[in-house]
Amino acid sequence: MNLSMQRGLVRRKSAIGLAGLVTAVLLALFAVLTPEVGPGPGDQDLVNRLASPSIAHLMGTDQLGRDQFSRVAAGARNSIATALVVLGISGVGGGLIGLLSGFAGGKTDLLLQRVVDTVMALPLLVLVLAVVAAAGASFWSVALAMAVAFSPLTVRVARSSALPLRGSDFVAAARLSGASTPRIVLRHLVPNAVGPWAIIAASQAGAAVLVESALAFIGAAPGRVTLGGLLGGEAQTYMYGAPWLIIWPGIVLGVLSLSANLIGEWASDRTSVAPGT
Amino acid sequence: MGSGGYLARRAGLGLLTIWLVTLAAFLLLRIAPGDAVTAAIARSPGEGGLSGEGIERQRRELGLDQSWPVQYMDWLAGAVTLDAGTSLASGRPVLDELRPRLAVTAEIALFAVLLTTAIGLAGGLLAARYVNGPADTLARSIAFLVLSAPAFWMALVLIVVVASWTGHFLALGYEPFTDSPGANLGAVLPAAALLAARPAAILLRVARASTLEATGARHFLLARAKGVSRRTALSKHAFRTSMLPSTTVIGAQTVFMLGGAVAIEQVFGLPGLGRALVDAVLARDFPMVQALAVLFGAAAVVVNLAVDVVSLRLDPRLRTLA
Repeated sequence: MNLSMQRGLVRRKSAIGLAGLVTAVLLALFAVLTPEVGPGPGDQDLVNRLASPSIAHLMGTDQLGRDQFSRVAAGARNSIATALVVLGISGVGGGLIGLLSGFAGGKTDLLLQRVVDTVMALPLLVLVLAVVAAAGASFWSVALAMAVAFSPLTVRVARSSALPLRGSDFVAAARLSGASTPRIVLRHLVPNAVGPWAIIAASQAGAAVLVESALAFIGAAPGRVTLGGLLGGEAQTYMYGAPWLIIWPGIVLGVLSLSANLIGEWASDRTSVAPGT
Repeated sequence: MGSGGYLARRAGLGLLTIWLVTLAAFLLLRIAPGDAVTAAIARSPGEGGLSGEGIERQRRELGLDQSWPVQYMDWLAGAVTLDAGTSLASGRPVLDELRPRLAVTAEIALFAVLLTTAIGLAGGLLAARYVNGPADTLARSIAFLVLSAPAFWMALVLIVVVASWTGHFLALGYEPFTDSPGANLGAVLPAAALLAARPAAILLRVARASTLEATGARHFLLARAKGVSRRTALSKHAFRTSMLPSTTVIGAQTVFMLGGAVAIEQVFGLPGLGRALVDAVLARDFPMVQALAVLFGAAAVVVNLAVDVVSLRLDPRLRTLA
């Protein structure tokens, strides 16, 4: 591969990451700003029931005359918030636990890995439903249960990044110079593990959006406006005559997940050495 | 240690995991407020109008007045003799309730696994063969889009599109294959195809990446140096190496398809195990939840063991590592 081809590839890869980032920002703006203008997601306009998309209702209205645009925005807000909780707990928390587990080794590592195995074997549906049953159906019960269910994978990936670094010279040198364990983990392990971590974290954010919508769709967490909820229930009765009821929530859902996957693709391109993988 | 010993140890660990899952499911649901009696009242308020005394009597009949350890040991004693108890919601034996649902989920999963494997492996090998060419770009783009789209939403769109174009509604609802093969496959095959979409996309990406990675391995270079064509070297030498990560992906996705099919099953009106789990948790039907936890846990353990066996056959080097 000559130099100009290489430059072209680098540009293409950066473009992928940029596209993902721009899409994510635009969707976040859509989700956050829409409820501030226009009608609320619960406001009914009974004269305009099941109206097709128009200037007044960009994505049409549902069977109660509620503005689909603001309902989709409210659902997107819920999806983005869920993805952020999963990123924070599974991504950051699970990542740090994994690094510590791999770095510490011995009994700590063994014990943590048994816990990880059990959480991994517990079906996501059992975990989420049980937490919702125990704590009530709220944003936090679903998001936290999902974050716990997503964590084992991040822990494992971070752990496998830390394992080979444990015996490395630079870690030994840091330890000899008197660095504490938290310092070694944060200053020396994190920068080396960030590549695989970014790929997993981004793909989990994309998957979290889809899983949350599937859970809402089957009615596991009623009571809020969610993209999955918009697709379920009544919408399936009216979707033949009013397809906009299912088209828009699905497209926003897909684009949300796509933007996370694009960022993940960019991260994996940057860290991969094999051509085009 | 021989591979037999290794597998035996993995099977033992698997049993331990299943037991931990039943314990976790038991504790999680007991922490939740309410039980089968209050859940039944909540579902049909005004019906029967049970007094506090009546509630206590029903609890006694269902064994819910016992302490948690006693309840769990009772369940465990039944479970080891393959008696899963009676459903608290319907009063019928749990196994009778689950058998027809297991048939539905198993049929969908079987087709979905076959589709995933065929499309994922063929697509991955094809993309690797024509790396960076049009076929590769197309395969990767489709896989990437599928990865981002919610499967149950694609199912809804498919149903609406078929209905508006042909005027026919896709067969919704389940008919046993032995009763009506046409109606059975009419609902199961679209469900299986949509369920397989995401796993197939993941498998395609992994199979492609690991096949390409193997083109840098010494056994591939040796084959090429001996004069084996790139095409044959790819499919015979590199692809075989790539089967190792692919097997792991197929296993993980099979476990996902058994438990993660609820939304798809709901769209097509197929009464599978996922729906049973949702209903059982909402009804606080403890024996039902326990049985399903065992079933899902056991499925995961069996699939992972199968992955281990296949991996050992594919790469004999693992035997010494094991």
